[in-house]
Amino acid sequence: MLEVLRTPAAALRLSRPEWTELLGSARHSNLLPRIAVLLEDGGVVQQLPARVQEQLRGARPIARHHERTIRWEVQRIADALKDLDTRIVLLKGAAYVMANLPAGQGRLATDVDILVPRDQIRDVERRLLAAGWVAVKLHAYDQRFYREWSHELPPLQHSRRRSVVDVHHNILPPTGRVRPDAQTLLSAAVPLKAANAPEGLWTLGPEDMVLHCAVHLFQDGELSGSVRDLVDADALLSDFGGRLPGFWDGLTSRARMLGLERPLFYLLHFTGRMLGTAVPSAAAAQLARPPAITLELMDRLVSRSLLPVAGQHGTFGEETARTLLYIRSHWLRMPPAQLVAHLTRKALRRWSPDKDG
Amino acid sequence: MTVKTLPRQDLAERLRGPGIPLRCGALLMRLGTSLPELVDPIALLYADYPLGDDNDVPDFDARVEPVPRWRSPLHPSASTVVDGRAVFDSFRRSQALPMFEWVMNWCVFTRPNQYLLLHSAVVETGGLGLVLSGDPGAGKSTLAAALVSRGWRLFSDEVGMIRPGSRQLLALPRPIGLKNDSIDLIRSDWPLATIGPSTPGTRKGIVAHVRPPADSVARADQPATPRWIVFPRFEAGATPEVRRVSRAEALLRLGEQAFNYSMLGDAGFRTLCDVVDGCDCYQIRFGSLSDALACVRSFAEVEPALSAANVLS
Repeated sequence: MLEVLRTPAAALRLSRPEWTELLGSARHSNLLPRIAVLLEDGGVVQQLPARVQEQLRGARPIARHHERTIRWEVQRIADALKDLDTRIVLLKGAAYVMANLPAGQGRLATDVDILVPRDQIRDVERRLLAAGWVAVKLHAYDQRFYREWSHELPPLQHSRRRSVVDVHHNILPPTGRVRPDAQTLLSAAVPLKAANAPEGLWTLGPEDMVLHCAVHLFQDGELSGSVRDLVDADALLSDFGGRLPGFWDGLTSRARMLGLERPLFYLLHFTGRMLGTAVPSAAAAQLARPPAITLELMDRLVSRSLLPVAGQHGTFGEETARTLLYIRSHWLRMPPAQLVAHLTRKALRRWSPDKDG
Repeated sequence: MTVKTLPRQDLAERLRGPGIPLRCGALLMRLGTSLPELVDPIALLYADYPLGDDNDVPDFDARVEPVPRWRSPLHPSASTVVDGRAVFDSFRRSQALPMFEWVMNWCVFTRPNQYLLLHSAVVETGGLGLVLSGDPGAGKSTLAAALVSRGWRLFSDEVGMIRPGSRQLLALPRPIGLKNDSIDLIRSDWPLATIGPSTPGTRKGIVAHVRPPADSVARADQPATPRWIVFPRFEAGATPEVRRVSRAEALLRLGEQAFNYSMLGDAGFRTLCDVVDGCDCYQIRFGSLSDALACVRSFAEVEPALSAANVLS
């Protein structure tokens, strides 16, 4: 699958059993519509086996539906928040879709993430609640966890449309090792000026968009099965790197300024390694490398856990890699004492009858 | 070559190993399991299905596999594996057969979005399709089974597939799922039916599956033109009633019940308009199977020329 993501023409060399394997991995990584788009753009679809073409055709409507849903939901959110005099910044998929970026094409996901100034978050929440969204994580511990220790509100789900909006005040939790200044991100945001986009919305600046992706993968996330996020990063880097002069220098100096050099290093390292993303060597050289042994360990863990587990359960190695990365993600997110308390609560909840969280 | 031509030992080994590719209308499904208790039910229910090419790319690969005992110490469990990855929570191993059928349904309902997928039972006679649509428990499958026993071709028990731009229903004959009282009802109405083992204690109560007639399976590549759209409604003790439904109402109700109507956007709407345009649409209410058949008789022949192949399979 990674090979086809790198070079769509590689699809022409696949045997039928290899296609069976690829279609399965692609579905489980939420990447089949994306691959369908790449193969169409690469002009190779017509030469593929008929049964493969059929499955690619069957995958496309899902992504079109998700795109339509995102556009609709963003419009509804913009309506609900229209008289708030503040920057509403779209993040991730919603930003890629609304700004018509290549990264938004064939992308699966319907949740909308927004970033707002911390002092506005109560007002934003109140207005969304008034417009029909409701809190879905009602467990008292969850509510406290999100509000005190997290960089976002508990997810809000629309009571009729079931769509979810995550309201963030930062891209990393306040308890974490790295705390980028949200104000810096907000002031570098750019107004969304695309066809069909509602008025008054913003997206992160291009460099920050990439850094958010890096943070999401390598600082905050658990990395398991998240090859989709790496594909997002690849699309952003190729797009911005190809059309914005000075993008790479801007990216590395921005990472330094926000204290996000390490996640950016990993992002460039793994997109290059796994997806063949062209990163100028000068850009990579400007970032401090992690110690060789750490990088070696990350290479092993990440390559084992980015793709979805095959079979009912992963192999021992895969499961161990996932567990270690899960621990790493939490380690980066909160201080040790709090971490122990949090994981204990979560473990106890699993065994208690009250599972509403 | 069909499933019944495989010796039981071969079938068991192939199910345990790579699985068997079954052709079902436009789809190729690969089924596998290492649960020995599923071999006989699969041999029974899928006896007449043609085997596909082992190397070909299936539309989905569905398996039911035991969960290791240490992961489920309280009772034996199994889980569903689709395209090589576990999906959904595990369940009691005694539920393996209905869960297997269910996970196949799930694949059929969510995967082939190149088609408009209506949630309905479909039967065919003389190239014309009768689409039965309604909530679970409305009596779709029971009525479909009764019509099939009277000479209609089983087109599909769960899904009506239409390729956007065409007005043709595509067949996907799979075993007919019956619940609770319907099982004995069909046993007595259709004594020659081959019915798989009953599984009690599912979320829907007791569940059993009727093997599709060999002729329906063999003719799965023949499409049909939609002709009747029927919204059945079983109500204990109801006086039978047939009500004409406008095409506009039928369109809305079919759309509501479809798996991917809104996903397909304009294409879904236009396809559904095409389907409804050539159809007579009815709502029927009944309290017994004979009343249901009487309702259908008011607009269609219930017993088309009986073909021996249909009844005796």
